[in-house]
Amino acid sequence: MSPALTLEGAPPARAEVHALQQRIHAMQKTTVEHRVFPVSQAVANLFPERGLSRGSIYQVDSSASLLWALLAEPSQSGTWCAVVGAPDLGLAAASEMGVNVDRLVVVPHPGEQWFAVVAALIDVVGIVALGSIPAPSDHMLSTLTGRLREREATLLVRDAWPRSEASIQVRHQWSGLSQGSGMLHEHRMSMSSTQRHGHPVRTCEMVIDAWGAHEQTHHAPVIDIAHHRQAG
Amino acid sequence: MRRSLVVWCPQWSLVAAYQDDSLPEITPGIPAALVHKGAIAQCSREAGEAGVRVGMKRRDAHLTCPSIVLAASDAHRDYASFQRVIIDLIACVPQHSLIAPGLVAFHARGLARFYGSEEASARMLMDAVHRSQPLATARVGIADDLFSAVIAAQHTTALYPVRAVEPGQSAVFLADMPIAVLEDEATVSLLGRLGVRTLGDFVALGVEAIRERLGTRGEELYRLATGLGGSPLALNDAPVDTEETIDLPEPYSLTEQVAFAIRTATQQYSDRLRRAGWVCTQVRVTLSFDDATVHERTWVHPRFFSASDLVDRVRWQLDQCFRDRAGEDTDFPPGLIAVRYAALDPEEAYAHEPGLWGHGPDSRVHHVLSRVQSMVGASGVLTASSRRARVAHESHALTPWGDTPPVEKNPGPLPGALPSPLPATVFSTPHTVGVIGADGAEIVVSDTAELSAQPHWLVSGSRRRKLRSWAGPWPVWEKWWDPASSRFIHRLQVVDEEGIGWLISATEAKHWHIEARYD
Repeated sequence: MSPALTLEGAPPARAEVHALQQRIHAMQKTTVEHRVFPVSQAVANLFPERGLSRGSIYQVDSSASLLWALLAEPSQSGTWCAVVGAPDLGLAAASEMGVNVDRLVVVPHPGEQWFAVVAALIDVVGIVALGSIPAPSDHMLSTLTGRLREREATLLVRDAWPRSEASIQVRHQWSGLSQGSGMLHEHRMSMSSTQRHGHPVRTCEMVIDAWGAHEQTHHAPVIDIAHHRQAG
Repeated sequence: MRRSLVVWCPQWSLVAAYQDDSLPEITPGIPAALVHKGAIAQCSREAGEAGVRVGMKRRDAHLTCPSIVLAASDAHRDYASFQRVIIDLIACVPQHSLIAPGLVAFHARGLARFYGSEEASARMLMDAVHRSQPLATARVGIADDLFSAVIAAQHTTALYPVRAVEPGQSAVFLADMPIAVLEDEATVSLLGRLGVRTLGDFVALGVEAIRERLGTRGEELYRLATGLGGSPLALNDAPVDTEETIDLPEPYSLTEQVAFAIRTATQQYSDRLRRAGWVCTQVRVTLSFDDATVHERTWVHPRFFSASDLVDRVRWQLDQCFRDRAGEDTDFPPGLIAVRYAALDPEEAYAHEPGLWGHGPDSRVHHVLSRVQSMVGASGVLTASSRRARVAHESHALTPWGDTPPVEKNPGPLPGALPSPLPATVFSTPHTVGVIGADGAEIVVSDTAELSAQPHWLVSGSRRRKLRSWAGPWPVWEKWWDPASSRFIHRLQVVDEEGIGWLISATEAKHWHIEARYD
């Protein structure tokens, strides 16, 4: 047994423990900063590190708007992104939401070979989003997580996979239509992300309109001046 | 000055067009012409007899000879087909100097020594051209300088196809030629207005006067006209044959068999090109089957084709062929008997050498995506190009990796385009749905673009969604300018109970489809 794991022996000096803690702290900080694909402001609140951590799997809702919102910032900063097994993509909406579609690779029908395709893509593509694909076996899953960690890539899946870092749920609310008139003009998305390690649920709101996707801004409460005046 | 022998093939562009499989309507024996910039560049004998002349406007040619077949002239086609003739001529003479497609020069002295006389070598070369390209006729001009030799070749007749200018007689020969042979439009027109009609008149002006009036360009023309000019021949070795036909030992009808059978030969072809200093970025693959059908396709590569890339292209093309023909009612699947590669626009290999520090991250991306392509097929890996879509259905915005994306020429306003925000999911194949009113009856759109009732339910298969709000219908006439793909639809935007928006449309046949989802 290594000396570090023995409980016997003199307790380590306080200064030494402090130094070690400092070192661990410093190391953690740098790794977190480097091992993240930063995402746009509108969805950054969903993640404690304000970005998709590299080498992880996220379970995201099947909402395409959410996918485009997550890919916008990484693709703009030059990361290649891939969408595998999802043939129905609104690319015009993607570029409207800020995705650099020139950095987007689409494999619409990988069929039985989805695993080989994803394994190959991870080598160069930073973020791979999976559409509807058959459930992977345990062996495939452990191979895939190993590769993801090695290549520092991120995988977004629709179904509940074990070992996923977080799962993101969306509630939609469209406004603009009434009974027979109007047109869809504002899309409000309430997202909540449930972390794996029992962290509190993180929520965030995003609004998509003709000017693209942006964070829900809460206006300052309106104070009824007239009421105050009367009182005073 | 070296004595030159020039072989000239009149109407070469037409001969090249006869050979071009993509122009099946142009055949020998019909009035045909090639058009360059709206004017006739070359016309066949039949068209000439009907009154069509070189330089005529396209519409005038149609008026003069209504049955004329016109095609665009293509310098690349002329060059590529003449290259094949030169490759065949190499058996007779090792070095050549290509002046233009259809016009090639040789050193006359060596030829005359080897074949006995200039006349004999001319006959031999004419026969060789005819053997290589039976549709072409060859004329030969021989003179002390290149310019005189070209003029001599162009002033032969079908009856006397060889014209030799005796040594030292170039100036005398040229003196009778019209001034237009100088092929310098501005100068020729000026000299014509000055009353100079022949090269003899031009030379008689004297070099001093010409230099004074026309500068160094005039002096060059003077040297040509006296038979002293013309650059020495820049001789080249034989061009490399950039085509290769691989004959299979027996008809194969399995893709893997074919891939295995052609691997070695393809590697040799690729090596042969590389040794000659070429790489190909565009290749035309022609597959010949045992039932006499031929499948041809041009492939483009973002970098250049390696041997395994070529084999992959053959496999994909063959897969596509078999898929296309799967519906045919035949007892035996067609067997492949030959594969033919033709490198289009081969490029110098040095332009594609990797840099000293490798060639950047993009080559890695390319490598991996090509590997994925070899798993799921060429059209299985797509990249997007940022272009707007009028129709919700926009699969055309995706192009297979490696293909050149379609260029949007004029990104003007798109009438009928969807307003922003756009649907994030667009169905590549629209699903059929039912739109049901509160009373359970299917809703139809009347001719005056009104709904028969308020939509209440959206039914897709066994799933039923209650609709909360809706708007429409909007009539949209897509692609009205193209009768084949135009369609008239009514669009409806609806929001269901979960807050998800849908774009649905009714066709003229009163069927409802989901085009896109706002999710």
